[in-house]
Amino acid sequence: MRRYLGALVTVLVGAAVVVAVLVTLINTARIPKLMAASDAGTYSLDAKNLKHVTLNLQTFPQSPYEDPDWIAKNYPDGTVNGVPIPPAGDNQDWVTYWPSTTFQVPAHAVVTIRIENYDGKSTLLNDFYNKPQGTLGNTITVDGKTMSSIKSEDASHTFTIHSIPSSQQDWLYVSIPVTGVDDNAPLDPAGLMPLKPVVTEFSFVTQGPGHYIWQCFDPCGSGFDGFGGPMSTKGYMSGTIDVV
Amino acid sequence: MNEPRHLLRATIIWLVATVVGLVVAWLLGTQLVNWGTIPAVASNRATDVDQVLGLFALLSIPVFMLVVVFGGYAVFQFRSHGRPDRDGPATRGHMPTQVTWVVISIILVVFLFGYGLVFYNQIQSASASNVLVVHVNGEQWLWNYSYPQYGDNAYSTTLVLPVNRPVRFDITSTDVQHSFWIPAFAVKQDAVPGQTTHISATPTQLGTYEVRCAELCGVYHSYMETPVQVVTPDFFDSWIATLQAGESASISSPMNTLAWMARDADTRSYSAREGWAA
Amino acid sequence: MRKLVPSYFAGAILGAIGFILGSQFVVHFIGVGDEPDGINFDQQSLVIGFIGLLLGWLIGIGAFKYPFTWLLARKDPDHEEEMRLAGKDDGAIRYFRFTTDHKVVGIQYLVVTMIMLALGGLGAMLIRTELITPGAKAFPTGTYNTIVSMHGMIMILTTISFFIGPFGNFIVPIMIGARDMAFPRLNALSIALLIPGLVIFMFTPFLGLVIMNGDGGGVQTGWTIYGTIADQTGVGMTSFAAGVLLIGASSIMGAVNVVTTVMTMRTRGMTWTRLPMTVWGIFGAALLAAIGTSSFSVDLLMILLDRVYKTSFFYVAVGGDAAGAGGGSPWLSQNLFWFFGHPEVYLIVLPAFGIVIDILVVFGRKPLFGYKTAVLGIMGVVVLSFLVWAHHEFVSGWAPEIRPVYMATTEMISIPTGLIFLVALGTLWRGRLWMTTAMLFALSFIWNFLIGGITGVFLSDVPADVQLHGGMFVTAHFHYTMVGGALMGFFAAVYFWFPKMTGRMMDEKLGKIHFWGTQIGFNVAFLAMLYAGLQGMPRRVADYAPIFAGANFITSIFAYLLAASIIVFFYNVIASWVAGEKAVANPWGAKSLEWMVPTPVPLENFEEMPVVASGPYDYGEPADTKIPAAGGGSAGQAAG
Repeated sequence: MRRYLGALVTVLVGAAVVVAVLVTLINTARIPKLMAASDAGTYSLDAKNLKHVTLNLQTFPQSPYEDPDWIAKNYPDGTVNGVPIPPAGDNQDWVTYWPSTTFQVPAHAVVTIRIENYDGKSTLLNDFYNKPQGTLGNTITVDGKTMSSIKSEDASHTFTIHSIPSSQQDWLYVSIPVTGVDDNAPLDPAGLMPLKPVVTEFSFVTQGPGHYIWQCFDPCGSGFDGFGGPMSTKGYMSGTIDVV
Repeated sequence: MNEPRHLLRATIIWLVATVVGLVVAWLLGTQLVNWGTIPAVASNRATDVDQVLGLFALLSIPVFMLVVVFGGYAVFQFRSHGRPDRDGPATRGHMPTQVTWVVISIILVVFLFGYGLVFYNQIQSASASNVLVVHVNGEQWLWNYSYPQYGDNAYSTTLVLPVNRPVRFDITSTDVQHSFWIPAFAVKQDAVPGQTTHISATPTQLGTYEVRCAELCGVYHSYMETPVQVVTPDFFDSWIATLQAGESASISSPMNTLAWMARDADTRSYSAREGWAA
Repeated sequence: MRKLVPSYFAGAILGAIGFILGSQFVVHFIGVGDEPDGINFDQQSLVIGFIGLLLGWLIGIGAFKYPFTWLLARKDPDHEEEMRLAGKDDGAIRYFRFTTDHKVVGIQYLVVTMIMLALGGLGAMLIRTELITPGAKAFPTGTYNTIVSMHGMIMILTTISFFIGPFGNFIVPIMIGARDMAFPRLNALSIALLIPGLVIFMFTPFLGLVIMNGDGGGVQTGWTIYGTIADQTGVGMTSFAAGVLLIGASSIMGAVNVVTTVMTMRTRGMTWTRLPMTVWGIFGAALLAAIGTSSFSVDLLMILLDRVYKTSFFYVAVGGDAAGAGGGSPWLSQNLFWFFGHPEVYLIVLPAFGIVIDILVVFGRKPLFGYKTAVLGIMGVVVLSFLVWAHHEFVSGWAPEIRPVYMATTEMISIPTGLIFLVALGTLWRGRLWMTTAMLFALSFIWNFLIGGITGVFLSDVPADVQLHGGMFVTAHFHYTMVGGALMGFFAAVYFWFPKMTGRMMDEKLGKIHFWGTQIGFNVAFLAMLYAGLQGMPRRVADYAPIFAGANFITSIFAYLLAASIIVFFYNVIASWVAGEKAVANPWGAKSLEWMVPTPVPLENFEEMPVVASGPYDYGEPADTKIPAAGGGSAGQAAG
């Protein structure tokens, strides 16, 4: 009898070890907090009135956790969208989308995303991505000017939404290039990033509810072909977008 | 019971099991696509591959039953309860059995090799005429496609192919190794940076299928999936024409392609639309 | 306290000091490589730190104690000193330091490989938890890829060592009538390198996951570490490569030792045709390890050079951060890897062939059916295994015209493999089968390896492989051969030789629970995985389409059962070792030499060297139908 009890206890201990490791992994994974799109009234499209929401994003050449002055200036209460800004962590020099990479937008709505890019240029590996695809009018607005493509050398990042393996939700594919800041643009006093970002704005229509992922297709990371480091890690240059 | 009776019994059980197994496999085989056990059969290559897989499955049944039946018979018939008090007979081998086994294995292997070679040659021989060339680019972590025969504007993230026309895929990668896999076509070939690999097939069934990546390529390897849509030749022609007219961006995404199709629903025949799964 | 120097305890402390010295201080004299990531440890200092760790460890466990004494005294060790190095009169501490006695090394290997099995099993549990439902809900995909790579590599390292290590070291020398291995100090060195290699390897998930805050790149390559993605992936790749290089060196040393021992140290009368099949299996595996491992080491070195010094073995330089000159070939890494990778899987399973056959003989109470056939099977696999590697590259685009050649050789290798089944069935037929736990596992090997082998033949056919490669069908196939084959053989070997190695009997009731839980859990889980593979599920994916959900759910649930059963095994091992029923010298009534020596085995194995008069399979002979009394062998091989 004692041997069966001993075996059972050992199995339970083993299960506890697995659970402990799992919990550690879940807690150390950096998944930025959910950011819901802000309401912006309605949008008239093809004689229909659709909900209109916006998302305001930045891209930084390094994580803004590193720059307390910038945080104090832009988020004096230390929170963004009501979520407290986390303390400085590792990977402070990794390029990142900010304030989050986990988004939520409504279904059958027009979503307008505005990206303020503080990062410099890195040539696209694949010219396919220098044109906006799947946006309204198939254009983007860069610093106020409407464009239907940019030069591959001017790209800094892309914002590309694509689907997860599922045949039960509507397909969603949107891709836009994010133009980079000029090489000789003036920098902030800390010398960390440019004074003025390049602003890219675009809109697209969502279909039915679903769970999608998005990523950057520009080689702005480290390692071989620039797709390592932040490009290979969730929460920096890739994330999820839920259409609810 | 003496030796020949045991052998006879086991052989009979083996024959019965083999026949039952073959019959069950044959009957189940026709249902496999309906149950989703194997992917849809949507190209000539997939038909060939499924035939090969089917033959291998049927041939493996007698082999499997041989080992399981004789082994299982021995375990049940010759077991002793607790520590045995005597040894078994001192047979160190039986040359006829050993020779027969080796000869039959060689024959089986030669047959399988020959059979595979026939299909291999059939698959390798590309059609000469009217081949559609599709340039596939694998990139971390999405596929994109272009149709070099139709000019520089003809590129897309959706793969659209006309039914019954041979396709040759020229595949490469801009970063790490990926593998271009269309399960419904039984098409798979690695995308290797710095090299262009090739594979050919002819789609034979209208519908929407998936393209997956079959080589671990990084963080979004699981998500490297795009649709492939097999449409009627007329449809394909008008789609290509729209791409060439410079409106590629409006239809190069799957969502927009579907919307475009819906807009033209009145002018398209029902059978063309039927090939699409929403 | 003095007993702790030298020992593993001192080795651990000195190893830690060595690591800190190497990575933090030495590097300032050599110069720091530039690493644009700006990570905490740059890769060069990490490698130097590992060298420091290795040196500190070896000094701490006493590996240099006698060599330097002899070097300075300029003399060869005499017999007394050899015995002291072999741990004579040292008591239990000899298991925790550099000891040359092959029995001590065998036990050290047994414990270390079981720890590695547990670590690999932890990885498997994490993988199956992620895959139990669609959606990468447990942890992100980058973390998942790292865990998959770790699980694969640790299990490969475990299965490479878990026959040659414990049983090749402890049992084989006694089985052939030798006093020790041919190179006792090399033997101690091989286990002394395995442990730091494992420690260095286990840096990987931390460098990638915890220290880097989130799934910081990690090692997203799979254990196959193809050149392009290995060059790109996170900093954990460095510790991965360094650890495996070290373990590969340990493996080559062990293999060379086994080959030399079997070839030169068989006792008088122990001809090649009287060797137990276990020896043939382990000998064949050692040949494969000795010849093939260097190819893998070269691949790892090239990856390290590409990453740290920006050479271009695999860089194709299409853009981004590739500072190398470019012109590299991704196919080079595949060929180097698989030239080792394929013989390597046979190296894992060949000892299982030999051991399972021997166990069937002992518990079937019948001679081996077809000795020469079995030898032909094992050596046929050894030769052919070097000729089949490109079947892993059927869809890689490399040299497509010669694929039929590899299809032929791969299908041919099923012939010698099939001979093993012939021998097993013939041995069982009309025996008197004693269903101990060891026998049950040996029987399960037949069923599981049959399925593994048949699915392998499916994959050997090029048209079929085009559809099945890179999917879960492949994963299920190799788990059937590695787990259902080699791991079951390992369990059988442990239950069989535990009485000889530890002087205790393992608990048979727990053994039956372990057996049935393992078989049901393993078979249902991996049959479901075969199904998912047929459906078209790719492998190494953290997230999958809903049609695969049913098969994956079943696989995960039964994998939990499998893991629980293996934990029962670990408990059985530990509890029996500590408080099991004491074993007699020959509890199974077997006839090979290792059962003719007393338990515990004396330091030099034999009082006088045995002279062998016949093979170990003399069951059922008219003069000998009574099983020898359990207290020791009267009949059998030793005639001296």
